[in-house]
Amino acid sequence: MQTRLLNRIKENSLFITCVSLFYLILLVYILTLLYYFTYTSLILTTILYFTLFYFIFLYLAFNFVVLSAGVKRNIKEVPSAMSRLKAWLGTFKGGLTLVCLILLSIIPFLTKNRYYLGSMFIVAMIYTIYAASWDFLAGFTGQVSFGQAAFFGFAGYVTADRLQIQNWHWLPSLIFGALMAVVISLIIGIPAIRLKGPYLALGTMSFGMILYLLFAMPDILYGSEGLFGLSRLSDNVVVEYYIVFIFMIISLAIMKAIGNSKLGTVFKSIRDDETGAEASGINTTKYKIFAFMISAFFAGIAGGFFTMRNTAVSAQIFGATYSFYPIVMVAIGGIATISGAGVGAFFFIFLIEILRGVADLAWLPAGAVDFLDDALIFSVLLILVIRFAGAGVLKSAIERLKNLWDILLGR
Amino acid sequence: MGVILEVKNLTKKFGGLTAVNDFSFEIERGEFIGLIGPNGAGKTTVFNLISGFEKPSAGTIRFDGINITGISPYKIVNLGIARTFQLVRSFKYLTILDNVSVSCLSPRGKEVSKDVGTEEYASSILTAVGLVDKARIPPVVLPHGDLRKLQIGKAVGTNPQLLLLDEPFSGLSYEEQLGITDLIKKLHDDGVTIFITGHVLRELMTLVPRVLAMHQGKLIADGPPREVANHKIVLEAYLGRGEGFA
Repeated sequence: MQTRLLNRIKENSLFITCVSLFYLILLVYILTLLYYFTYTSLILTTILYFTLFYFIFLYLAFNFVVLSAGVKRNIKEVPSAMSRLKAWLGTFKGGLTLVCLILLSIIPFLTKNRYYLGSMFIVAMIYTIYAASWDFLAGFTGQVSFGQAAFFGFAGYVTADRLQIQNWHWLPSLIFGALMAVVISLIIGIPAIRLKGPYLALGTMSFGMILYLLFAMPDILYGSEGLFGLSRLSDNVVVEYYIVFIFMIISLAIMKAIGNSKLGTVFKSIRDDETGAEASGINTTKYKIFAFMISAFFAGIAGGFFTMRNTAVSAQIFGATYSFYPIVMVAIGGIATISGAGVGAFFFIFLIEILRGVADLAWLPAGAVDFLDDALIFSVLLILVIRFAGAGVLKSAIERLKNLWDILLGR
Repeated sequence: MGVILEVKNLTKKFGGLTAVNDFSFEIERGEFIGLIGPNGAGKTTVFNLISGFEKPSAGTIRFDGINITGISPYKIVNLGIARTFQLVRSFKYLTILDNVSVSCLSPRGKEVSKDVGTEEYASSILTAVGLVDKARIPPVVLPHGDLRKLQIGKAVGTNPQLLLLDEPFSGLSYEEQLGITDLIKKLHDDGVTIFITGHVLRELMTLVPRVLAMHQGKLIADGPPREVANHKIVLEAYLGRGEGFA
């Protein structure tokens, strides 16, 4: 194995030299900039960290890929879960995912003195769970919801209530909030069974608006200010980071596992041809509601974490903006991939931060900052993604990296 | 043998248009029946009514003694009636094996498949229809004839007692038609009651011992193919009323 690899490297030496040089130069360039600009401006620091993160992960992915060439790749079906996991890690996607997760796990140490940057990662991970929940519903069962914020926000409120008013520990508050989101999903899901396509989108969107108006009313349901001054997830932001990190891995793993299971096959059949699924004996109503419930649970987990991160919740959380966030993130990352939610969430969150920094520049009028945040960014991003990468960025990027890897290994 | 399907006074109106008009017939268990009629006669509507995809305006349908008039399609499937569609449909983004697996994951399909396992059972169905070597690819690459076979495979996955085949021969070349014919004959030999519609008459008339003829929503003939083919009203329906032909 190793000699074959060395032979491949010798044969493709020119290509590899060029690619390595390219990355090396880029790395040196970035590190130089880092040295000069580090304590000067947040926006540049953010760009540099983000770019650095991105290129380090690409570079390491490359190296890991080379290392993993020695790992035996088991193509046949393997019964045990552990060996299946190992087999998956040996594949390109598996290795890449592992590298990203390893990087994410060491972020707290890289951002020791940069509280704001570190907390951005936490927010991105929360949105990853949120976007993945939407991807589960839309990508696996074809139910495109424009009201995911209903689950997100309701769970946020319930979690806040349990935390502050009932004085529960954060874990039961979080789970209870997510379960309440499931209840909400039944309230939305059962009438929504007959709705398809744009009608489902409108129906779910209006439900989000109803909740917004309800929770914004002055005298009922916590009033128009909502709840604030909530206790944090933990006093130590590093602990908070790892809690969210672990929940993110578990949530995404569960959703991915469901997608690959027989239940997932039934869900996808409903997405591909609902009438055909009925003709195959599937009770589509039951499964559609079930999908709503699962999606709501994880959106609720994200909502609970979101509320705890902000130590406050108000009716704003039911806004259309928060319903659009997961849609744009999944559109960027790639629909029906679950992991695309992560790509889209991180990309989107960091992009917003960068643009916020840009908007701080004096020549933009005062109100532009908020406008820039929401409507303009969504619209432009969505248009760009639909025009140039309809299936999302993740798939084509992975394809390209995979081709690079295949060339390296001489396939 | 026993009557497996009993249709009485079945009527379906779409606004002012009566698609199916006072349609009554019976099918015995294990029979092999065709339903013919020119385009627009209402054949697919009859199938939709029996399989639950449309609710009748009037009339009753009894399957194996159970009144199934107007109940949900998936329930009817799980009672033992499976159907294929005139316009071939498949689960575009699933593999061919998964296409059949979905039927095996229905409650009725699970009853038969749970002993051997869903994947093995679905594979055996694919082997029976002749698509097993294409199990892991999506249906988009299949030629039309294979898609029809896939449809039949999907229907078989629910372990039906009565199989409704809606125009299984249309759009097929002669060889492909023969392949489908063999498949259908095999299913009939296994005990499945088969009810086919079509307007590709040559294959159909040589295949089935009994034919129902339909025109403008009404049943106009019921009997052996030769008799029905020479029936005056059937000829008028297909060829029109004429003056002074030979």
